[in-house]
Amino acid sequence: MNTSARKRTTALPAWLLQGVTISYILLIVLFAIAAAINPNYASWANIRNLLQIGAFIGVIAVGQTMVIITGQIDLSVPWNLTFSAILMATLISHGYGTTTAITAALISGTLVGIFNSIGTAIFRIHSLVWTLGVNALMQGATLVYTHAQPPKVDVPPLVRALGSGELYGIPVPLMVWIVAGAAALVVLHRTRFGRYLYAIGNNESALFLSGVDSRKVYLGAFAMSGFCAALAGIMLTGYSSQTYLGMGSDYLLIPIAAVIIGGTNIMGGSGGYLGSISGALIVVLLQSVLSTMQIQEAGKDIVFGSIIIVLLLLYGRQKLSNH
Amino acid sequence: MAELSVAGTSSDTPALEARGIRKQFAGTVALEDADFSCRRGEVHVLLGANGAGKSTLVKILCGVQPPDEGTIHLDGEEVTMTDPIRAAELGVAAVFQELSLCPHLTVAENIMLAHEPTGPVGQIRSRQLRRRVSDLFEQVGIDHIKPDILVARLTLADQQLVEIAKALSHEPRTLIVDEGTSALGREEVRRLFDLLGRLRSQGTAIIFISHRMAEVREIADRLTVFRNGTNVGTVDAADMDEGYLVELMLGERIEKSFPERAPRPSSADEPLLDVTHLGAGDLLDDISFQLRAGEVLGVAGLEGQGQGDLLLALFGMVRRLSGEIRVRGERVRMGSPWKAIRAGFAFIPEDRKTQGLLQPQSLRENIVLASLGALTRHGLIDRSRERRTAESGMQRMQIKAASMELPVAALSGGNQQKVVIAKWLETGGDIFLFYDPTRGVDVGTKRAFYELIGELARDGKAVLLYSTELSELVGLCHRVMVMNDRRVVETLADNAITENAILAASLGVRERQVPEADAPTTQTAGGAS
Repeated sequence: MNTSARKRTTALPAWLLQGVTISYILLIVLFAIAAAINPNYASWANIRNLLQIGAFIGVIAVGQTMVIITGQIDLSVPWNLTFSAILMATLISHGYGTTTAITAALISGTLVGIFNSIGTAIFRIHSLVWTLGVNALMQGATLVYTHAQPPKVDVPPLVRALGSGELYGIPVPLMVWIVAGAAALVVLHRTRFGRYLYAIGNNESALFLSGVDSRKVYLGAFAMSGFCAALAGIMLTGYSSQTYLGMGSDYLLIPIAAVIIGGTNIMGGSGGYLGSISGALIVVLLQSVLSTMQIQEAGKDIVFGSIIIVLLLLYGRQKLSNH
Repeated sequence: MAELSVAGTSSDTPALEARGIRKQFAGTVALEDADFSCRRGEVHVLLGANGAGKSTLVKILCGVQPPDEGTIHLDGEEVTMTDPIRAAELGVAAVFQELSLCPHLTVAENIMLAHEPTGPVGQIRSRQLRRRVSDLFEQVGIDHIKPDILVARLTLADQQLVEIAKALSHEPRTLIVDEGTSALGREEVRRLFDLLGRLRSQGTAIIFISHRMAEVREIADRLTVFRNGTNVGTVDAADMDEGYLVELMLGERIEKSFPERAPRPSSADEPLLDVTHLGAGDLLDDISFQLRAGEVLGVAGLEGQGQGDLLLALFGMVRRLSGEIRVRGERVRMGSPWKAIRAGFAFIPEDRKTQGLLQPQSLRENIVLASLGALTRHGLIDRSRERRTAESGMQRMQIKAASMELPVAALSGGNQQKVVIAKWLETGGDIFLFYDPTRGVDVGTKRAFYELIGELARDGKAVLLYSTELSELVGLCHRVMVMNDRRVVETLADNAITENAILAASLGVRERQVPEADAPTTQTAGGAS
């Protein structure tokens, strides 16, 4: 039926149309352009800086990739992140130990993730709506809890190190990203849970009829996303040496954009974290290039939006060649 | 058997007449040289086994689908029906089994949908709309439904009546009701028949499709039987002989080739599956049977008599079961597919595309999907074992594919079906539940299926086969349970399994006997629940 579409796409080799490949090609091209404009771009100091910032997006994208592979989305990241970070700061200001505070923040983030999965998997409310509501709920909770005034606190060295530290010349956030990223790749491609994430995104009823409790799979994905949001919140607290109410607001759409640019299907079922890595780097690189070119916020948004649209059109062709 | 007396030919032109209709869908011929005519002021019942072409005919008569060949005449004039709206303008309206109402609009808004009375700037005149609907209700005798109520708040039966009222709002001269009673209880059927009776006396031609013989007996003026896409006979209701009709629906036996059956296990063997007094709310009622290793047990019946629910219940998809299910003598608790799988059940769903397979994913991933637990070591999937499992599954089922990494979407229907079964062989399942597996499947795939079922039985697996195709049950099963109204009404074995016997048991008539002999319940009045 769609032989005409098939003919057009087979003009290009199939691997070239894979989302992952496209995103890495785009990353290299972007980097080459940036370096051509300003040779400083290729300096280790600059690359280091990009990787450090990319780490925050990359960590959030670990959870978001898993959720998006199931065909859902987690919109509760910004205020889940903020709430967890402020919870940690408050505990520290009350004299609790750093490890206790960090653990509490991670548990809080994970619990919010579990709450997200309850709405999605048990009440069957689309995550687009449910997690948006949870985000608002967390925002309200944070404001009530802090009287709109996050605690002023001396950020302890461990947290500071997680956000901006350096070990053997390598930024600690980058190390965290590498560990989280490697774990994500293993989970997605080598474990049962990972396999079920893809299966649920392709055909939930087939998975259910194969004897897998799909609710647990959703639970795992959303819990992972909540955990990652909290982890990013802790890292960001260390990075900026403080907690503040708007700290999560940049971390909703940008990690989602990174996941999609990396070739993960927004409808679920295909993609992976390898793409999300290049997606995160592309996003950071673009932002950095656009601001050094002194393009204003509005201009940035236009470039950003156009890239996403073009990539989605490209990935759409890849879809056609599959059927 | 094919030459039949066409009863009661009359001189006046029929209200609706179809001549030489042919319709083909992707290789299968649904209708071939089909004639049909219906008179003004009669209820004309269409009968036929599944796939006989009734529904296709109805769709052509009301403009949903165009015929490939043939003509349609209304009051003697040839017409072309391009779409249902045109058909409604010409005076033909249809009510289908699937409801087409918008739940969040009111009854009145639904009935007048797309032909609302409007004012000068296109605004809908609500008061006039409501008045028209109450007039319509009064005229057809619906007095218990308020036009202002939301359709979502009505019972299924009342929604069905609204659906019919919607068709009547076009003031059709021909009304088609396709299985309009399957959702209705006895009281509601009575109300519908009163309504049809009034329409009949007003001169409307009514074409009625039903599988319930008792209803047909009650409402029909004439009956037409379809078989294999063509009209095989029309009779007056007065001359109706149900045993004869059953034969007419089946026709001469078309010899289909089925693979040789495995020998039936001896009834002295311990049963693999032992079900006693299984019940489930209003889905199943007191069902008991035993199934042995190597046995193929069929489940038959008219549509929606509980056959599908029985299989779903056994696979843990139905809640609140009563009764007992034993596998190898041990009682098993149901309630979820994973528990059922652990007990040894395997479920082959009706639609492999939407329920059985991950279409874009590889053969390998599909084959191991239900048995990943056994392939996992220290939390990780053992890839070489996974590949070996997939390979042995492909060999066992003789799946022809260039590579196990191909997406299953690229395989033929028959091979896809084999993938579903390969998946279950890996879980060690030994009770295979087939949920109407050959519906809408091409001949080659069907044939492959028959062989698979035979092989499973020979391998000592037990098979429970729910099928809507009678010949299949006859050709494959050692025993057949016939269900009617949530219960097993008859179990046929060996040579007693014939299409006639199954259909007769399904319809609740004895073979070749007069209807009165076994129909005490249908004639009792006022037995409403």
